[in-house]
Amino acid sequence: MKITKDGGGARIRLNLAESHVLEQLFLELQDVLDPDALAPSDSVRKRLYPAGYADADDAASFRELTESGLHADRSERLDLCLAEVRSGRSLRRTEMHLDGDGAERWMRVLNDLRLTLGTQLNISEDDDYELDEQDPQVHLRARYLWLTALQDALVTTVMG
Amino acid sequence: MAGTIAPQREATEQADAQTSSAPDRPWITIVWNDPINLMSYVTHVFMEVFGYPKAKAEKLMLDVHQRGRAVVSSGTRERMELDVNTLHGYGLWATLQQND
Repeated sequence: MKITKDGGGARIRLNLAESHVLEQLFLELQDVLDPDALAPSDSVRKRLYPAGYADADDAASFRELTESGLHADRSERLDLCLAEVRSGRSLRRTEMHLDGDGAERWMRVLNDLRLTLGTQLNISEDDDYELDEQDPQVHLRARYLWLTALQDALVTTVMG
Repeated sequence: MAGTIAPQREATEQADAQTSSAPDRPWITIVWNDPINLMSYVTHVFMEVFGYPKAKAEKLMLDVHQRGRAVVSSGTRERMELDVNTLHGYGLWATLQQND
Protein backbone atom coordinates (compact mmCIF):
# COMPACT_ATOMS: atom_id res chain seq x y z
CA MET A 1 0.00 0.00 0.00
CA LYS A 2 1.12 3.53 -0.67
CA ILE A 3 -0.75 6.65 0.34
CA THR A 4 0.24 10.13 -0.77
CA LYS A 5 -1.29 13.55 -0.32
CA ASP A 6 -3.24 14.70 -3.37
CA GLY A 7 -4.49 18.27 -3.06
CA GLY A 8 -6.97 18.33 -0.19
CA GLY A 9 -7.40 14.58 -0.45
CA ALA A 10 -5.24 11.53 -1.00
CA ARG A 11 -4.16 8.94 -3.52
CA ILE A 12 -4.38 5.34 -2.33
CA ARG A 13 -2.37 2.81 -4.27
CA LEU A 14 -2.80 -0.90 -3.53
CA ASN A 15 -1.34 -3.95 -5.15
CA LEU A 16 -3.87 -6.36 -6.63
CA ALA A 17 -3.73 -8.81 -3.73
CA GLU A 18 -4.44 -6.00 -1.27
CA SER A 19 -7.31 -4.63 -3.31
CA HIS A 20 -8.97 -8.05 -3.56
CA VAL A 21 -8.63 -8.57 0.19
CA LEU A 22 -10.17 -5.14 0.76
CA GLU A 23 -13.03 -5.80 -1.66
CA GLN A 24 -13.84 -9.02 0.19
CA LEU A 25 -13.77 -7.22 3.55
CA PHE A 26 -16.13 -4.56 2.16
CA LEU A 27 -18.55 -7.25 0.96
CA GLU A 28 -18.51 -8.91 4.38
CA LEU A 29 -19.12 -5.55 6.05
CA GLN A 30 -22.26 -5.00 3.97
CA ASP A 31 -23.92 -7.90 5.80
CA VAL A 32 -22.83 -6.78 9.25
CA LEU A 33 -23.91 -3.15 8.90
CA ASP A 34 -27.61 -3.91 8.90
CA PRO A 35 -28.64 -3.68 12.58
CA ASP A 36 -31.71 -5.81 11.90
CA ALA A 37 -29.46 -8.64 10.72
CA LEU A 38 -27.83 -8.88 14.15
CA ALA A 39 -29.32 -9.66 17.56
CA PRO A 40 -29.66 -6.61 19.86
CA SER A 41 -27.14 -8.27 22.19
CA ASP A 42 -24.60 -8.81 19.38
CA SER A 43 -21.31 -7.17 20.37
CA VAL A 44 -20.61 -5.83 16.85
CA ARG A 45 -24.05 -4.26 16.65
CA LYS A 46 -23.58 -2.67 20.07
CA ARG A 47 -20.23 -1.24 18.97
CA LEU A 48 -21.42 0.14 15.64
CA TYR A 49 -24.67 1.44 17.14
CA PRO A 50 -23.80 2.22 20.77
CA ALA A 51 -26.15 3.45 23.48
CA GLY A 52 -26.46 7.24 23.53
CA TYR A 53 -27.65 7.38 27.14
CA ALA A 54 -26.71 5.53 30.31
CA ASP A 55 -30.42 5.19 31.09
CA ALA A 56 -31.84 2.15 29.29
CA ASP A 57 -35.19 3.73 28.36
CA ASP A 58 -33.60 6.92 27.04
CA ALA A 59 -31.05 4.81 25.15
CA ALA A 60 -33.81 2.73 23.56
CA SER A 61 -35.77 5.78 22.36
CA PHE A 62 -32.61 7.42 21.05
CA ARG A 63 -31.63 4.24 19.21
CA GLU A 64 -35.06 4.04 17.63
CA LEU A 65 -34.66 7.56 16.27
CA THR A 66 -31.07 7.24 15.04
CA GLU A 67 -30.20 3.66 14.12
CA SER A 68 -31.78 3.44 10.67
CA GLY A 69 -30.26 6.76 9.60
CA LEU A 70 -26.80 5.68 10.78
CA HIS A 71 -27.22 2.42 8.90
CA ALA A 72 -28.28 4.15 5.68
CA ASP A 73 -25.32 6.57 5.83
CA ARG A 74 -22.86 3.75 6.57
CA SER A 75 -24.18 1.66 3.69
CA GLU A 76 -23.99 4.56 1.27
CA ARG A 77 -20.39 5.29 2.21
CA LEU A 78 -19.45 1.62 1.96
CA ASP A 79 -21.07 1.19 -1.47
CA LEU A 80 -19.14 4.17 -2.83
CA CYS A 81 -15.82 2.85 -1.51
CA LEU A 82 -16.55 -0.61 -2.91
CA ALA A 83 -17.26 0.88 -6.34
CA GLU A 84 -14.03 2.89 -6.18
CA VAL A 85 -11.90 -0.17 -5.39
CA ARG A 86 -13.40 -1.96 -8.37
CA SER A 87 -13.17 0.93 -10.81
CA GLY A 88 -9.64 1.82 -9.69
CA ARG A 89 -8.31 -1.62 -10.57
CA SER A 90 -6.12 -2.01 -13.60
CA LEU A 91 -3.99 -4.93 -14.81
CA ARG A 92 -1.15 -4.17 -12.46
CA ARG A 93 -2.56 -2.31 -9.47
CA THR A 94 -5.45 -0.45 -7.92
CA GLU A 95 -5.27 3.29 -7.61
CA MET A 96 -7.85 5.70 -6.20
CA HIS A 97 -7.71 9.47 -6.34
CA LEU A 98 -9.80 10.88 -3.52
CA ASP A 99 -10.76 14.49 -2.88
CA GLY A 100 -11.16 15.73 0.70
CA ASP A 101 -14.68 14.33 1.05
CA GLY A 102 -13.67 11.04 -0.51
CA ALA A 103 -10.71 10.63 1.85
CA GLU A 104 -12.98 11.42 4.79
CA ARG A 105 -15.46 8.79 3.62
CA TRP A 106 -12.69 6.20 3.28
CA MET A 107 -11.46 6.88 6.84
CA ARG A 108 -14.96 6.25 8.14
CA VAL A 109 -15.53 3.04 6.20
CA LEU A 110 -12.12 1.72 7.24
CA ASN A 111 -13.07 2.60 10.81
CA ASP A 112 -16.34 0.67 10.55
CA LEU A 113 -14.33 -2.31 9.31
CA ARG A 114 -11.84 -2.04 12.17
CA LEU A 115 -14.62 -1.68 14.75
CA THR A 116 -16.20 -4.85 13.38
CA LEU A 117 -13.03 -6.94 13.21
CA GLY A 118 -11.61 -5.51 16.42
CA THR A 119 -14.81 -6.39 18.29
CA GLN A 120 -14.79 -9.91 16.85
CA LEU A 121 -11.15 -10.23 17.96
CA ASN A 122 -11.95 -8.80 21.38
CA ILE A 123 -9.11 -6.29 21.01
CA SER A 124 -8.13 -4.82 24.37
CA GLU A 125 -6.24 -1.71 25.45
CA ASP A 126 -3.08 -3.65 26.35
CA ASP A 127 -3.03 -5.67 23.14
CA ASP A 128 0.54 -6.23 21.95
CA TYR A 129 -0.51 -6.56 18.29
CA GLU A 130 1.77 -9.53 17.80
CA LEU A 131 0.83 -12.25 15.35
CA ASP A 132 0.92 -15.69 16.95
CA GLU A 133 0.95 -18.70 14.62
CA GLN A 134 -0.89 -20.75 17.24
CA ASP A 135 -3.74 -18.24 17.44
CA PRO A 136 -6.79 -19.65 15.59
CA GLN A 137 -7.73 -16.07 14.67
CA VAL A 138 -4.31 -15.18 13.26
CA HIS A 139 -5.69 -14.43 9.78
CA LEU A 140 -8.42 -12.16 11.09
CA ARG A 141 -5.84 -10.43 13.24
CA ALA A 142 -3.52 -9.98 10.26
CA ARG A 143 -6.33 -8.26 8.34
CA TYR A 144 -7.10 -6.06 11.34
CA LEU A 145 -3.46 -4.98 11.61
CA TRP A 146 -3.29 -4.21 7.88
CA LEU A 147 -6.49 -2.13 8.07
CA THR A 148 -5.05 -0.28 11.06
CA ALA A 149 -1.92 0.62 9.08
CA LEU A 150 -4.03 1.70 6.09
CA GLN A 151 -6.39 3.88 8.11
CA ASP A 152 -3.61 5.48 10.15
CA ALA A 153 -1.61 6.28 7.01
CA LEU A 154 -4.68 7.83 5.38
CA VAL A 155 -5.57 9.97 8.41
CA THR A 156 -2.04 11.21 9.02
CA THR A 157 -1.50 11.91 5.31
CA VAL A 158 -4.67 14.00 5.02
CA MET A 159 -4.05 15.82 8.32
CA GLY A 160 -0.55 16.64 7.07
CA MET B 1 -23.85 12.86 9.29
CA ALA B 2 -25.35 15.70 11.22
CA GLY B 3 -28.93 16.35 10.24
CA THR B 4 -30.02 12.75 9.92
CA ILE B 5 -31.32 12.65 13.42
CA ALA B 6 -34.85 12.51 14.55
CA PRO B 7 -37.53 15.02 13.82
CA GLN B 8 -36.59 18.28 15.48
CA ARG B 9 -39.97 18.53 17.14
CA GLU B 10 -39.47 15.48 19.33
CA ALA B 11 -36.02 16.51 20.46
CA THR B 12 -37.34 19.95 21.32
CA GLU B 13 -40.16 18.51 23.39
CA GLN B 14 -37.70 16.37 25.30
CA ALA B 15 -35.44 19.35 25.87
CA ASP B 16 -38.37 21.44 27.09
CA ALA B 17 -39.46 18.75 29.52
CA GLN B 18 -35.95 18.54 30.90
CA THR B 19 -35.14 22.21 31.12
CA SER B 20 -38.38 22.95 32.94
CA SER B 21 -37.24 20.72 35.79
CA ALA B 22 -33.60 21.83 35.91
CA PRO B 23 -33.03 24.94 33.86
CA ASP B 24 -29.50 25.68 35.04
CA ARG B 25 -27.87 22.39 34.21
CA PRO B 26 -26.67 22.14 30.62
CA TRP B 27 -26.32 18.88 28.77
CA ILE B 28 -22.92 17.48 27.86
CA THR B 29 -21.57 15.06 25.28
CA ILE B 30 -19.00 12.60 26.59
CA VAL B 31 -16.64 10.50 24.47
CA TRP B 32 -15.43 7.30 26.13
CA ASN B 33 -12.14 5.51 25.61
CA ASP B 34 -12.10 2.37 23.51
CA PRO B 35 -9.24 0.13 22.38
CA ILE B 36 -9.97 0.25 18.64
CA ASN B 37 -10.32 3.86 17.51
CA LEU B 38 -6.94 5.29 16.54
CA MET B 39 -5.59 8.37 18.30
CA SER B 40 -4.99 10.04 14.93
CA TYR B 41 -8.54 9.31 13.79
CA VAL B 42 -10.16 10.55 17.03
CA THR B 43 -8.21 13.81 16.77
CA HIS B 44 -9.31 14.18 13.15
CA VAL B 45 -12.97 13.58 14.10
CA PHE B 46 -12.91 16.27 16.82
CA MET B 47 -11.47 18.74 14.32
CA GLU B 48 -13.95 17.77 11.62
CA VAL B 49 -17.12 17.57 13.71
CA PHE B 50 -16.58 20.48 16.10
CA GLY B 51 -14.16 22.61 14.09
CA TYR B 52 -11.70 22.54 17.01
CA PRO B 53 -8.09 23.55 16.27
CA LYS B 54 -5.62 20.67 16.23
CA ALA B 55 -4.16 21.49 19.67
CA LYS B 56 -7.59 21.38 21.35
CA ALA B 57 -8.62 18.24 19.47
CA GLU B 58 -5.40 16.50 20.52
CA LYS B 59 -5.86 17.48 24.16
CA LEU B 60 -9.40 16.09 24.18
CA MET B 61 -8.21 12.91 22.47
CA LEU B 62 -5.49 12.46 25.12
CA ASP B 63 -8.06 13.04 27.88
CA VAL B 64 -10.20 10.28 26.38
CA HIS B 65 -7.20 7.98 26.05
CA GLN B 66 -5.60 8.61 29.45
CA ARG B 67 -8.56 9.45 31.71
CA GLY B 68 -11.08 7.24 30.00
CA ARG B 69 -13.48 10.01 28.96
CA ALA B 70 -13.72 13.65 27.95
CA VAL B 71 -16.52 16.18 27.67
CA VAL B 72 -16.36 17.30 24.05
CA SER B 73 -19.35 19.66 23.84
CA SER B 74 -22.15 21.15 25.92
CA GLY B 75 -25.46 22.87 25.26
CA THR B 76 -29.11 21.99 24.87
CA ARG B 77 -30.27 18.40 25.00
CA GLU B 78 -31.38 18.67 21.38
CA ARG B 79 -27.94 19.88 20.29
CA MET B 80 -26.17 17.15 22.29
CA GLU B 81 -28.36 14.47 20.71
CA LEU B 82 -27.22 15.72 17.32
CA ASP B 83 -23.57 15.65 18.44
CA VAL B 84 -23.86 12.12 19.83
CA ASN B 85 -25.57 10.91 16.67
CA THR B 86 -22.83 12.49 14.54
CA LEU B 87 -20.08 10.91 16.66
CA HIS B 88 -21.79 7.51 16.46
CA GLY B 89 -21.70 7.93 12.69
CA TYR B 90 -17.92 8.27 12.99
CA GLY B 91 -17.74 5.16 15.16
CA LEU B 92 -16.89 6.94 18.40
CA TRP B 93 -18.42 5.76 21.66
CA ALA B 94 -20.36 8.84 22.81
CA THR B 95 -23.17 9.49 25.29
CA LEU B 96 -25.04 12.54 26.50
CA GLN B 97 -26.19 13.41 29.99
CA GLN B 98 -27.20 16.40 32.04
CA ASN B 99 -24.21 17.98 33.74
CA ASP B 100 -24.07 17.44 37.49
